[in-house]
Amino acid sequence: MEENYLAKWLNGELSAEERKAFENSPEFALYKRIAEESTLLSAPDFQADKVWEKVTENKGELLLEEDGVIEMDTARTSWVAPFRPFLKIAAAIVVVMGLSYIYINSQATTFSSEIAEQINIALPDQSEVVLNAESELSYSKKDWNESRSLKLDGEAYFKVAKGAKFTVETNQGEIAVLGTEFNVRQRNGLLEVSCFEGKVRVKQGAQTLVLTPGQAVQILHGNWQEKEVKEGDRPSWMDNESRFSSVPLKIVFNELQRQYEVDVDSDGVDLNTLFSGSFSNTDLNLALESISIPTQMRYTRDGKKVLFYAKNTP
Amino acid sequence: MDHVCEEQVYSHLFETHSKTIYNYIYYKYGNSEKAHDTVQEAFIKLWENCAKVQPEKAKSFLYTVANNLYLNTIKAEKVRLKYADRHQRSSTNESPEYLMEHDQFQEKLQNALNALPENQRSTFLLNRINGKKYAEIAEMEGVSVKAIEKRMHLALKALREQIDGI
Repeated sequence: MEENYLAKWLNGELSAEERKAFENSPEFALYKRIAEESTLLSAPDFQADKVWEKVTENKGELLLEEDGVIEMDTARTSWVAPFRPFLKIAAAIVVVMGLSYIYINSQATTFSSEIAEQINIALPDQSEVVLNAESELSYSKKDWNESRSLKLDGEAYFKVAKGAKFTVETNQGEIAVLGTEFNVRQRNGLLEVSCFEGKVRVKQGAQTLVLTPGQAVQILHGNWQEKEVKEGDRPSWMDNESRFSSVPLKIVFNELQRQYEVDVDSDGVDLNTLFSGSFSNTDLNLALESISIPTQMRYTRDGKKVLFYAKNTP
Repeated sequence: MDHVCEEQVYSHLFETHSKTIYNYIYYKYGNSEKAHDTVQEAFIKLWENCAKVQPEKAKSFLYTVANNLYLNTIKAEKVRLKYADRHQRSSTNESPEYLMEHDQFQEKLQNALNALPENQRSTFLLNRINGKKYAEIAEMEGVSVKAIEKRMHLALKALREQIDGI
């Protein structure tokens, strides 16, 4: 056997011949089990927000010191004087920029993410949005001061600055909030809203529901189901993991196609089977195992094509 | 040019690397609280040196600092990993016997993982749990990909032997 063949096997690098020999060895079954089961472990949760808070506190102190130095430097008088002749030109430039600013602002601002891409967006009021893969968000800069309203197609996490009502419209319902943090997943007939902070009101048709932190709701074909938020202080996809709680396999497969550039197909699999669990957004092999093991499916992968099939299919 | 002192660059570095550094240190030393502190310290050090560290060097800077913070100061503790949390099953169609055998296997696996040398354990778990490529782990550890392959090989072999009761 080749040097370090176990490492090569884990990485799918063994030649067909070597692989066969290895698979026929008596130890193979146990190796395989260790390799599979070890992927299901995880470390205690990482409290990213708490660490970030402490880091920022420290940074703040360091910044203050630096600011002190800068102030002393700029304390000299009348630095404008030598530039006086240029002021007219500068004023003209400001006017042109101002006009284009007004023009640009009257257009709807749209952001869209590609497959396997996430986008961070800062809104005019300092609210933050993180857009998950293959999603689109748009709003009007011009009307922003009167009404904080956005349109979403796909999935996004919102951290809303305090202020007037903030509304997210999707083609499956409307979410209205005051300052808060929440996630909206709107995909293939599914609307899922998770509240991380503050209060969120979800509205579809005539029905509404108010969510408080730790609560989530899943609306699948008009069927409302209240749930708990399982992922701590932000949605797991922001940590490169797609998580589902009782979601039909077809939506899970769709998300897989969104996070990796793959075509997913299935054979003999009931696409309405509910799946609870998560998959990695950074390692396709691991993701395929995370989906197939708990659902007792098998899969084959050929480049960008993935086929899931039932275990008992010949 | 991008600069580590810029807020956006810096917070992006935090988003990208903080969790992996945490996992990396935890898998080695088994102390979640200290692993959190290490991430914090490493990022504060990065900020203090942000003018000197180029963005593309920031990653290896963070890992070097995290490693140095731990060197010689800490004795490894037992690593406790959660199981199945990431894979709740909505319908369980396994028999109770299967589930019991399954729990026993998990316990054996955890014990065997704890018996591994720190470097092998962190390498093995970063690859298995977090899906890190050998090349990425090599970069974190500042060693060759070959060295990482060796660790993976020895780790899996040792786990198998320990579980098999050899």
